[in-house]
Amino acid sequence: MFLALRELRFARGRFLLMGSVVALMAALSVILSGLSSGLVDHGVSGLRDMRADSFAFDESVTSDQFSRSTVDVAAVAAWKDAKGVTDAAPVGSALVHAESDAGVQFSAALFGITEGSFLEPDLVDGDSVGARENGVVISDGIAADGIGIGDVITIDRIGTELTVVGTTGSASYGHVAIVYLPLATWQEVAYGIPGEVPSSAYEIATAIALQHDGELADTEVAGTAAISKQESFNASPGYEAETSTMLLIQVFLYVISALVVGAFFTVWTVQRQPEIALLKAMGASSGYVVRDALAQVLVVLLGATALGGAAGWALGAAMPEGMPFVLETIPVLTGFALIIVLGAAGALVAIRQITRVDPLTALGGAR
Amino acid sequence: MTAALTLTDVTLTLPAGDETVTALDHVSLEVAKGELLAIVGPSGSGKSSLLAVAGALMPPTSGSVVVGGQELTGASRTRLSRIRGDLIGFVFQSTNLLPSLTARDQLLMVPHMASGIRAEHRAKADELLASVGMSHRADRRPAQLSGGERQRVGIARALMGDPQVLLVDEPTSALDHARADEVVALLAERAHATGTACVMVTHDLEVLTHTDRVLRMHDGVLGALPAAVLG
Ligand SMILES: Nc1ncnc2c1ncn2[C@@H]1O[C@H](COP(=O)(O)OP(=O)(O)OP(=O)(O)O)[C@@H](O)[C@H]1O
Ligand SMILES: [Mg+2]
Repeated sequence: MFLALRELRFARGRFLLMGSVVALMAALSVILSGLSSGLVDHGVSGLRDMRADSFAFDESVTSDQFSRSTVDVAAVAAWKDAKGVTDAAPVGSALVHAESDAGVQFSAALFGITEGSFLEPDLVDGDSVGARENGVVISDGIAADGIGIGDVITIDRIGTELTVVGTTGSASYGHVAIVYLPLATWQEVAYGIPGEVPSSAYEIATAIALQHDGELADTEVAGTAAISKQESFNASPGYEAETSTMLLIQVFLYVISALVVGAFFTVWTVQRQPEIALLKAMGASSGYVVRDALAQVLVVLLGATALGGAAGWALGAAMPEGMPFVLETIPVLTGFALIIVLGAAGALVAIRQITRVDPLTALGGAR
Repeated sequence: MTAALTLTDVTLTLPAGDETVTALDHVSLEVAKGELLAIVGPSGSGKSSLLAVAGALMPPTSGSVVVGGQELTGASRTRLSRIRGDLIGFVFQSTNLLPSLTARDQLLMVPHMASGIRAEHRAKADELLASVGMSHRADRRPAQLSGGERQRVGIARALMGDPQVLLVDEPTSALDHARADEVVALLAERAHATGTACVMVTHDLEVLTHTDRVLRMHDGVLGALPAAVLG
């Protein structure tokens, strides 16, 4: 470190420039990580928070199941008999536009559930779904629009009137807040035509939510096919496209930062070649020079990542409410670790040249 | 007198395209402790090659090199690197100093590489800087020093590890006559004072007054200096 630190001070302009690039990358990695956690949250937190292990959809539907699948409620009984399944409950989903009696218009995801089932959301306030006729529980996003317990929500076109009886946490689905409503009410909405609803409409749901011990022995029961909750995220609107795009951007960021660090230290090492030759002529082993250079790399990476990361975190914490942005410690720290480890790996490729510098070249141009 | 550096029948051939160049041709040499030996000779005659071989920077094609009682022939790279650190000091013509270090730190670098810096090393560095008249420049970096000052720091640095042999390549080529004379006088004084054997390659015949012995290199052959040259 003796030489490493003095070089940092001596060539501080160059290292500051390089450090700023790494710091900006670290800040960007915090933002991207927050955005990607936020998108996941906005996209599927309503599903993630459900106490289900798997969902069984119409077996003939293999994509966008939450909007396209229709199953017979009778499949619940068949699933309850299936090996390993401890409980099953129907769930209906739909994305709708609605308006409150105060005239607030909003989009919402409807989750139709049977009262008393394990799909009941945890209440923050009020009563549970179905506590009164067409009584619904809303998540934070709708409450933020100024709608509260006792307010009436009217679903566009169909005109079904729902009364808010309770509120739950911040769950959302497909980037909109959730209205949990009695399955029967959902079935009427799903039937789509106001007025008399045929009794057959009351036999359908979107999926059967399953609780089970360990792996499911049989994934296909009564014309439905079960997929795990994690897999079902991909069945929700836009989820796969969003997460894979975010992942791609993050991979690019880490690759670019490794290349930038590698390129900088390649140039730096080439510039230092006469000095490295001198050190070796003075009796320094390659190991000594490499250790010193690596220490320098780590000081730069750790310092820049810490500063940039802190700045990114502060920026993220200041994000306005309602942005799909969630700071989670583990993904953010993983991002920092990747910048440091990949950066060090990039630099190591450059530093390896040190072992090839011949001390003989210290004798100068004449030699 | 015991020899600090002994070359016995050293030959060095270097590949140059399809042919080979004989840079050193059966060179034998003994340098005593505390002796300042100058080697003169035309460009390309093999002077730098001699320093490279004597300084464990390059193995000879044949012959033996003994520095401070240690045989270099057949030693591993790691051992050669250790021998350079323990027994040999270099003063190079260019890139003698590390641009990021102050004069004092140039000297402290030597114990840092070997073992770690202790209080006695700091005292010794200050002493050496004083002995080359550079105390008042101890906190300056090379860019803020004159060519002669740089050479003096380089000499102090080379002496920091208490070498048995000091190898100096053209220390005066960048200096005017007065400075050159000063630097070589300093080398002679230090060699005599510390008992370090010093081999100096030079083009500058004017500085030879300070040396104990002068040899001439010609086409890789080391021989006595014709009296006519010195005038
Ligand atoms: N790396 C090399 N490969 C092949 N030949 C070399 C190499 N280095 C030097 N030579 C040749 O070896 C001979 C001796 O070179 P050397 O550098 O020792 O001369 P020198 O006396 O130091 O010259 P100068 O006074 O110009 O520094 C020259 O003929 C030179 O061309
Ligand atoms: Mg030379």
